[in-house]
Amino acid sequence: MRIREKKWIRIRIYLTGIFFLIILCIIFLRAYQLQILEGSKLSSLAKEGYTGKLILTSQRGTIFDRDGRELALSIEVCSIYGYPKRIEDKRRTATLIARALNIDKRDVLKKLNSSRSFVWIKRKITPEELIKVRELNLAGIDFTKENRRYYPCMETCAHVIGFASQDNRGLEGIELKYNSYLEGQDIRLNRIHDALGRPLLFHGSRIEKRDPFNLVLTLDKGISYKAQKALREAVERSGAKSGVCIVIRPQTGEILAMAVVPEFNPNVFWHFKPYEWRNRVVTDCFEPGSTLKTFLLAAALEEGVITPETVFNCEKGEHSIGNFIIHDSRPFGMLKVSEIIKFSSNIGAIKIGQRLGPGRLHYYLQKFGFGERTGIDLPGERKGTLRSTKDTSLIGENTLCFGQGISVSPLQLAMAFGAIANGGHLMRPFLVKSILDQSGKAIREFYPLVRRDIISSETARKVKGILEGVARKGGTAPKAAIMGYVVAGKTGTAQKVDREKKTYSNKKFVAIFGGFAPSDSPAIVILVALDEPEGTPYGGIVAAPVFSDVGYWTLNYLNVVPSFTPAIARNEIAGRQNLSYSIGKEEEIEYLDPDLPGSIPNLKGLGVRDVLGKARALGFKVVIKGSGRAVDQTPAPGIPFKKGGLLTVTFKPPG
Amino acid sequence: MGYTLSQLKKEILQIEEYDRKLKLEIAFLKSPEHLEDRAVKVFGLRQPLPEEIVFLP
Repeated sequence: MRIREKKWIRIRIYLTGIFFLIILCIIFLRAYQLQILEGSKLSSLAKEGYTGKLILTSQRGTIFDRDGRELALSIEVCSIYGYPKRIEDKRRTATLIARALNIDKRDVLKKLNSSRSFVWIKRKITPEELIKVRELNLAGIDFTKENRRYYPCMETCAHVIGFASQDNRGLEGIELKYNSYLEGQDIRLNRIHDALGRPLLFHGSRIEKRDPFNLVLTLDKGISYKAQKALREAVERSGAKSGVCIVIRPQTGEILAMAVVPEFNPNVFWHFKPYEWRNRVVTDCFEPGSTLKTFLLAAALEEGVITPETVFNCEKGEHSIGNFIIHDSRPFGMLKVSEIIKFSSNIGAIKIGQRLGPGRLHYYLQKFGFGERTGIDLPGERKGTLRSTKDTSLIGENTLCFGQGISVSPLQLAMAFGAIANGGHLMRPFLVKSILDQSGKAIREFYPLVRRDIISSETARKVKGILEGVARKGGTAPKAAIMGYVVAGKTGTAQKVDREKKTYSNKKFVAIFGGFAPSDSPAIVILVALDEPEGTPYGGIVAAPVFSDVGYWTLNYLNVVPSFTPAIARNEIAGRQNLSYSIGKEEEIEYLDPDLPGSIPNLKGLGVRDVLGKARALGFKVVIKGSGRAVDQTPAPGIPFKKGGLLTVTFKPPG
Repeated sequence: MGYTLSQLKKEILQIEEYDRKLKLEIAFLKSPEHLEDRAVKVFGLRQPLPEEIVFLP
């Protein structure tokens, strides 16, 4: 019995031992599984419990105008999203959200009923909308921060700047062209938080971050606004399909303004159609019409085949070439070269072209940049067409002299006018002055670039002198005159091609005016083109007033001192209800050149000694009132004045 | 220490963002369109006549 008991005890000891051994084995196996087999996975799982990532979406660089005023900038805004699976009463949630965000309830409900685990409800909401939705305190609805691009100038400069997508990617204009500089990278911040989810520490922050760069443009916000406004009014008034207005600095090629109509608001670009986004200054080409005579004239003068005084027979308005008869707008007889340009005689232009020869004309048009891209930093630039002399018929050679059979972009035309204005240098147009990093240091700067020299400064001076006649009384564009400044320019009324009839249309025109002011030292070149104006199509009637309006405003804005004051009685101006420089009033004003002998010079700003010196040289007697600088004079400058007459000048101390 | 640091960093980010928002507001308020509207409607200003512009030497 005792032996049997002892045996049983031993068995129980063994059993207990085996039991513990098995338990130990299980513990070891489990430890092996946790530590070795799934160790890395589990440790990362644990880490996720107390660490987290905070993703700051990338900022996009700011775009400034030439004076550092913002044209495009990014701001953090909230977007609302939902987890459909966590929402119990979807109908109620949809109703409340739709009411708060002022959107369609059915759309929201459709999103919430989807099988997806994550849906955007509305992206980039306003702060007011955010407050409203937050107050509802709905389950399964949350917010995240995103960047939104704002364009504070709205329509102004819109076509140049373009716009960026919801995902901060440039889609048009400068935003597209300089996307690699403007685009930043998302910033990832690692954080450790406590059991309640409060962040303890951020680390590993700015390692992978690349700050976006800011751009400084050559555009001027003020001038751009004026150009856009004047162009918009002109397009509405004339019933034109579209229009462009470019303002450039001829000496450097900097673009100060580039206005396009139809316009769009880049803040809500998706509400507009792609043809409204198009920057017609670089993408649209048209025949330049009579504006081309400017470059014909420059070529002929440069080659020495004519002088401004050379006389041509304009054959009373009818000139036959083969089976074709070329007409002038009115019959002219013998005209000097300067008058051919002033009255814009097509027959006169053909005669000049015949003397120059088609080869040389083609050579010079190429040199003026027609038929090649200007190299501007904008996407989608077209180069127009300039047919080679081999491909041109006899009639084509002749009609080229007044701008038919060639197509140019508004920018090419503006740059060519710029070359006349700056003394014969074709400049590369540019829009970006510098690229800055976030500390404001320039990482890249852009400088004016002369593409080539075309004509001598002497020829340019002669051309300017002739172009001055265009905006004077009797010229084709007295409406282009800018009060106080001598304007040089050329009109163009180009017939458009009727695609159905395959001939030039008698109803569809492009009205153009290109020119610069002040003529002797041009501060600005302006080109205005209106496509298919209804009613009167002439460039001198439709486009020239925009030139005058924008030119007057811009010269004043740039503090360009007027060279003379028009001879209008002071009280007449004061008595006018409308502003005297407003469109359509120019023809009433008689412009007199103060440099002509016998007219009074502008003495404003001069000291007493200078005034006395001038008066002595011109033979005037002067009555001096006050001291300092001349602020007023009677009679006004520009008025014809006999020698020995009396001139009263009032002076005031500066400041 | 960690709490204060993270709190301050958060504050800096918020202030930077607020600063950007104010810049945007300034840009909108200073846009020529807005200024012209205010000048004409609120203050009754108008464009100067050529004779009224004085160029300082």
